Amino acid sequence: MITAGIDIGSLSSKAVILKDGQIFGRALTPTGADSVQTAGRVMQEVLDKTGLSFKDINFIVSTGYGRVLVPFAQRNVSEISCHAKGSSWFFPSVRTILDMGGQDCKAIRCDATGKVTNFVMNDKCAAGAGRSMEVMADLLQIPLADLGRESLNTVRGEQDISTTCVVFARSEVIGYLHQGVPANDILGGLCEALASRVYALLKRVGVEEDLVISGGIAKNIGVVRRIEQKLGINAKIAYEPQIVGALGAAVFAREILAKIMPG
Amino acid sequence: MIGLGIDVGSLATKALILKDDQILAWSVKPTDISRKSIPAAVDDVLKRTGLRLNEIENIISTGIGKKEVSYATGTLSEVSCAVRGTAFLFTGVRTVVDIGGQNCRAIRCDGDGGVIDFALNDKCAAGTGIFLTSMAKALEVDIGEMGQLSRQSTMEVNITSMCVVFAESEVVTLIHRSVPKADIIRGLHKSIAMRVNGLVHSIGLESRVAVVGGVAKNDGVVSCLEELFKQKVFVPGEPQLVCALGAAAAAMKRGGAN
Repeated sequence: MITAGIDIGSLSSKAVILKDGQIFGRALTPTGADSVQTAGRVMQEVLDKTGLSFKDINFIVSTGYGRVLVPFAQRNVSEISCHAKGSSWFFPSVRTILDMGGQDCKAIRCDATGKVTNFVMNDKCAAGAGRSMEVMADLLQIPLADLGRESLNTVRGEQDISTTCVVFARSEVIGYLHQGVPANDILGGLCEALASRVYALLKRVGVEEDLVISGGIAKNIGVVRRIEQKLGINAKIAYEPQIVGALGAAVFAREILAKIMPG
Repeated sequence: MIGLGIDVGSLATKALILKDDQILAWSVKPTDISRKSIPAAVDDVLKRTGLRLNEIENIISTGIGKKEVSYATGTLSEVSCAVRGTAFLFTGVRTVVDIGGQNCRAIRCDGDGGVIDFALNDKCAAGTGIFLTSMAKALEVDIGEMGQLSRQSTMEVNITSMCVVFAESEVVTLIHRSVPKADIIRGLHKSIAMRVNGLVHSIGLESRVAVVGGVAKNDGVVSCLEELFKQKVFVPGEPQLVCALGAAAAAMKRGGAN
């Protein structure tokens, strides 16, 4: 049985192929202006990697912001459900999921089967989403992938950031740079601010171990460490945190297929 | 009696001189990090009147940088200055909406320069001037043209993102989809007006209403506000000078009593 999951996110699109219960292939590509085209592109990419052709795929489920814009998907499932399902596939012991993408942040609780029991999310304000880190990486001229590590190597300690809004924080950071505050200290303050906002969201839903962190932010060790510190627990992180949603969609595809085609 | 009002805002520094209830001159200079905007605006306004700084009895500063004016004889809050400036221009105004570059204030007042209650948004850039500045950049239009362009709108467009950062991406997506700029701009004006309306209703809307601050120069935003307020509003000819005017009026009233 071969199924696929397609996750059309706000900034990047992901595809996963699941074959006999194993991840057989995965692909990641930036989401362009045309989501339909992006969906086709990421699907082709994963097919190329696995040497499969489109007709080999038995069932396709889409998820993410653009989940209704995947013309070849047979079903679409919300990203909340897919993240819980995907996290549970990686770590069956998961009960709380923190998923932060470019444009939103979700704190999700699930049961032993990966079924969602409760969730809260922020999709209104960039200050509580991954986009804030992108804006700052751009401003500080530091690659996004290095931000987290650099933020843990402060020179004089974290520089407190007093504004919440990303637009205002950007001006505040420019001010600190003019005053000669080291970039690492500013990064420390920015990661701390983001971690505080995430912590507040997690508190609202209640944290039960194990906690899994997924989405792009899981790659930012500076934010992850600070969240762990606030909670006093260690988080589990999938080896490829950005594909968790797409994986969840592929797992759903497998479950749906098993139901409609028993045996 | 002569009074000088200086409003050091986040984006622009304004100076205005009043003499016996007459506006003698005013000047607007962009605020910069090096603080040169204050001497630039003050020198300019003095040159226009032929006055020297020591001939002015009272100087009142206001705005986010009001403490930067070392020679000011007093300072006043932005809220107080907005209300005093409005009272100087219009009688009987009970609600003043001041939309500046990086904040927005809704003020309930007694119609005679006194403040009753106010609400302030300085936490979130949505619903402030910077929202329009960012969007004008994304749309590659001049911010001064936005009001006029929005009048050519023929189709309703709703901007679903509240956050400036997210709205910027939304606007780029709309441009890619070939949605006419006029319709996008009209949607943006509605968005900012809805945010401001929320702030105004948190203190209660009372007639007569004045809209001041730099954003009031955009008649597209003003007309969206009028729709939401269900009434016409007063807008001064130079809305961004109202706080400087309020400061100058307060300075003039104090006369020589230092």
